[in-house]
Amino acid sequence: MNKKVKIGLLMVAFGALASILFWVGTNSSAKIQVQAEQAEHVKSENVFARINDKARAAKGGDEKAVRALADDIVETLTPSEVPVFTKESMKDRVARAELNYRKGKRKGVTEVDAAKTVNQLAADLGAPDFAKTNSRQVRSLRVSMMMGMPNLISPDTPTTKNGRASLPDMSPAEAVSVSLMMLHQKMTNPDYQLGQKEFDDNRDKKHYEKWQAHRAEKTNNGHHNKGPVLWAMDARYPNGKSKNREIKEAVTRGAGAMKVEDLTGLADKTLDKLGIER
Amino acid sequence: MMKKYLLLIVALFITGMGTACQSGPPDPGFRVSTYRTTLDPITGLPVTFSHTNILLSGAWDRDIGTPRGSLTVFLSRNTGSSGYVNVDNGRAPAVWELTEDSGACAGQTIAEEIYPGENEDIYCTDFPTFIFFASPAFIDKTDPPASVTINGQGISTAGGMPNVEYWDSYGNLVGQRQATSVAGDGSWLNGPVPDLSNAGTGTFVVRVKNPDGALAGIAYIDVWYPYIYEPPPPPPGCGGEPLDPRMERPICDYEYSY
Repeated sequence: MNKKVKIGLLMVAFGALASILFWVGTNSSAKIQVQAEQAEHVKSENVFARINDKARAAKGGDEKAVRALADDIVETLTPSEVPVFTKESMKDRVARAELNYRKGKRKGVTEVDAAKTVNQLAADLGAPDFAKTNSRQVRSLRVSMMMGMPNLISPDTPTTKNGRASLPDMSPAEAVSVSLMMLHQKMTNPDYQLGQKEFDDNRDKKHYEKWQAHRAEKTNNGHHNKGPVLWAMDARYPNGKSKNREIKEAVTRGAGAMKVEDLTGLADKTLDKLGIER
Repeated sequence: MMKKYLLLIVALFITGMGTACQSGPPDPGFRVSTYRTTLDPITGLPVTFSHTNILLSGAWDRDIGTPRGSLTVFLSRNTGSSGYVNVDNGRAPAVWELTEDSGACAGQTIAEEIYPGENEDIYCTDFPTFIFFASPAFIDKTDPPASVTINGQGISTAGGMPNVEYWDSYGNLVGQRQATSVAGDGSWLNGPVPDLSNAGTGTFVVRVKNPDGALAGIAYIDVWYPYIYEPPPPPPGCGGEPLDPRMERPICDYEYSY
């Protein structure tokens, strides 16, 4: 075989390889596209909006609607590692407590109780100190959640103390939602992986920066920059990853060191601490 | 001879790869990047992020200068994992009508002026229907506006005027006022701002309640006292002071140890 033939064959082989790669690539792309669209469809449903709709439906105290709300809260906000049978038990307890609350048969849950519940869980699992919270952080979270789930975090009748109206105690469903969301913040959100002083300073600083940005925009003859600041999760929380890892490792270690019966009873113990009746 | 052909193949391959991996928008042509603004499922606050794997179409509408490029239409191109579409040889400068064919804003079209080699960002805002927007969204406590307009939907005047509640960032109801005017289609209301002089600062939650007591929607307003202030060192054991000295904060009552 002379050189020209060899080169020709090489070119043909290269072309064939390129064609195969192109064909495989386009088919894979099509599959990936379909999967991505399916994922997008799931992602586009805002879980807060869904829970809020159920909270609105449950306002009248209808048992079916209240159970649907409790189901969704536990199903959506409980960590995925919690076993199915535990979740089912939690749903029932939360629904019964919520029904009792709406019938006036039980009191609401205080922010201090919610903070104590999170702190007990943090202690049981050997989580680092920044996993602990207090009633003021719980209050801040409730105010943030008012925007996402206004019918659940719903101060229909504000509490008045010393002439000041403020958020009342929480219904059992709200208390469970807020406690689970606080756990989520402590696991993933650097804005909440802080002690109280740092938490307040961070919030004040961010608000101050937001105001300064607003002033700067205003003095720039109203001209806006090209689009808003983008908050991709990683860029938004550049320093949070190490704390996320720290708390995950600690919780994994802590859970591994617990007796099986203690671990399986953790959900019940947590609801007990919140005052949700068995 | 063989080496020369191999070098040619390698050179072509590298050129092809280089073209495929180019980072800037094409010229002639342009790039369209898609973003989505929604509620952060963790904090409940609005966030904007790259909207990937969206099908995007575009149609040239009219020139706004001496055009470069000849492509005048593209159909259902996927923005992929990078969240953008390069429109090689797209006619510009021109006004283009851009349509998202999938995702939360599927079927919606906007007209944009696009210039050669430019990256054009388009935003898909996907908020639940109860999210309202206040204007102004920032209030200077030393110069508060006489009234606030809140845009949303489902605002009702059946049985009276809606009530607007102002909650500060510490969960205190600092004031409430009835709306003075409401759009016939329920898409906005206008009303006075309550006295905020004794309220703190921060991001306030504004709740719009219809006359029947049902919550119509909720908006944010940032309230600020523009006094540049260097915080003093914290008193022993009591943590720091806020940037705004008027911000109300209980002293030392948050050092809980459960």
